[in-house]
Amino acid sequence: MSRIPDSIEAVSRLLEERRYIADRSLAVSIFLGLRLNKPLFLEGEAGVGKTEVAKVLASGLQRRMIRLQCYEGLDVNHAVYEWNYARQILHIRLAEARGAQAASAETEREIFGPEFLIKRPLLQAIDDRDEEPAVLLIDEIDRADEEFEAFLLELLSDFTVTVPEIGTFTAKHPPIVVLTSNRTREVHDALKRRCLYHWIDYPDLAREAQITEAKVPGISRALAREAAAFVASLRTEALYKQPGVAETIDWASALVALGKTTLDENVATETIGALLKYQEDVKKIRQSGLSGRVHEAKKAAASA
Amino acid sequence: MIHEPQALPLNLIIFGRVLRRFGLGAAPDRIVLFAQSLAEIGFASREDVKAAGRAVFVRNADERRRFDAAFDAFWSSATLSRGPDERAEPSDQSSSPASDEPRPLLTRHVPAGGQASAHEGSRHEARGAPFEAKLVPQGDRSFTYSFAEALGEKDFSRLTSAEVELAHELSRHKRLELGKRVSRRTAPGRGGGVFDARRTLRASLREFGEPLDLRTRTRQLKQRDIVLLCDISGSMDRYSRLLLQFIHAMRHSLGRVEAFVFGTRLTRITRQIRRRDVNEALDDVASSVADWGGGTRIGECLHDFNVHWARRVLARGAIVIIISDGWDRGDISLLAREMQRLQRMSYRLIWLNPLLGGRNYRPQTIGMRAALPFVDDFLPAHNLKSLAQLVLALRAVDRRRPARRQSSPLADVV
Repeated sequence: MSRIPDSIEAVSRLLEERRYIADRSLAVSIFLGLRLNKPLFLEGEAGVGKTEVAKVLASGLQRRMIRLQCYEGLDVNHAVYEWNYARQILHIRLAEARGAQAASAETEREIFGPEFLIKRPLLQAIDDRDEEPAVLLIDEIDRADEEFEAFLLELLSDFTVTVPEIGTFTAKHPPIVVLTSNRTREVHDALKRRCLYHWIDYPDLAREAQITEAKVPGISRALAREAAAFVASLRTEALYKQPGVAETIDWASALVALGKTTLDENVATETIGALLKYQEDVKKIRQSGLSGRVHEAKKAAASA
Repeated sequence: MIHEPQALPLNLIIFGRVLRRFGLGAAPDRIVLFAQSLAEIGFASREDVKAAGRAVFVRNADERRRFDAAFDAFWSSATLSRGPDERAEPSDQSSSPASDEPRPLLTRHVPAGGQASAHEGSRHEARGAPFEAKLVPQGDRSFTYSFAEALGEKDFSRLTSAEVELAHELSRHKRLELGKRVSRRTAPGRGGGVFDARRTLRASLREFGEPLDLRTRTRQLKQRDIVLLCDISGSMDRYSRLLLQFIHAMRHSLGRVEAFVFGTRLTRITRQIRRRDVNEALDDVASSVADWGGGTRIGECLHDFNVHWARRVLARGAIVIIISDGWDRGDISLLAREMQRLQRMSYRLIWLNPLLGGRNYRPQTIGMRAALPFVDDFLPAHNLKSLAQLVLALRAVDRRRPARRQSSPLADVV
């Protein structure tokens, strides 16, 4: 277990050691989130490395990571706690066999005790036996519905959960909370106000090349730069779905797997599906001429 | 870190006012959080201070642009840093941005009397709009007209009798249930559905541990998201006020409504129509739209919508309603392409045409003919009765949607 970083530089270092290359402003947001005990709300297009922030923080601070993947209809039973019904029924049967009054208040108290409680991610994060708080990742909050958002609001402000049959759980140390959103829906302002907000943008060419180099084993520096430049040029087009950094990494891995050390038009044509996920987009880019684009990317990579 | 205890809070308060002038919600709790942040990171680097401010005050990508403008406007004339690239100014000076020239700032950004009239909502939502965040000149709204496209102010000052009637008509249907979908959220129910172990066990305790009564949960119904795209070009001028009122009424009786207006460009007005008072809301819309009564480029606007907004607002099976007469001076093949895509991405695509009310109307404008193959319901929207017809169409879009119009291949249209 390691301590909370005491400077912005320390945060940057921590991220970099785990091959997460972040710009300064993200490091500032993370630093403040850690120091002021505020949840960090990360928003950005798909594939810019939002979820990765939580993973890197957990491993860098040597904390347990608890992940809650959001979806529509996510409710208390799946997010906070659930009773172990099978065991409860078994317990009632055993009590009967022992001759006890099955429906007695005694049995009821027993089966709604802590050992029959299944802790889901949010309760795990709060009911922390460890000395160090966990990193709680609430992933893709925009996929959950408003009802869950409202529940979360309460949780994030006082970090307590009440189970009617047992009592209230309060976090000894509030967990480090990271929320991510892909913006498929506007998340309510009230929730954002509980958090520090950070918009993760697409990285610039140099940084994206750096990321690609760090993430794709065996890639040459030149190819990483060319790939980054090519993707950057795609992002200037009005596409239905722009390629994210995750796509850049996938694509660069594909290029390496094909044994390429430099970009050419043929391989770009063959592998464009790793970058563009809509037929309309693929068509548009093919029509606009790949050879020119590859050429431009190489020039940009060389000059940058 | 803080050397002049009075100067800093004063400046933070002034900064908060500047932010509010730029339409950012800088509530006192945010200011306090910002002060705490500054205590953590100090003033050594201007970029760090800016990043901290972003983390505290900004709540979406559009606000970020405005924050950057506000920050630069405020802190550049303060002594925090003398140049954009200049870092590390560790002296007392750097930590007291107030000492030298806060006064001119105060008079420049904050109107006399100090009431920072927050320009709410975001005025420049449309991405790709050539919006350069400039300083807002003295407390008026005229800056929004500084675009080349400003084609005259819209007078939204009086309610006509027909509009009163509309408001009345729609408010009677306050609890309208339009276009439902099955949500993934469940509620205790009877009969079929998912087994509810929790309630079954609870009930069994009453029966001495014998689960006699099997409880279930059923999926709840939820209002579908509705996305309205309203044409406000010159040819629609006569209807636009009434239609905007209609949009406002929909928003306040249904809740889940995203609204956009378009002429030569697309503008999102969801935040503006959130205001309860219809006149205030429409005033706000009027001052945020730059292309009133101008030309129409439906294809380009739909393209803009498909690229920038569709993924954000059509995620959960939304119903899309386009209100336009179909007069288009833009690229027709683009219009057809984007309509096809829009139909595929929406649960149902409805086109309201005010001209359709006329007895002899045939959809003969090129734009309308290009768009029509991809429209599921083509309905009139020229009077109250026709709007009531829309309500019926929406009600039909339920758990089972009516057959969709089969679009002919694109090649036949263009």
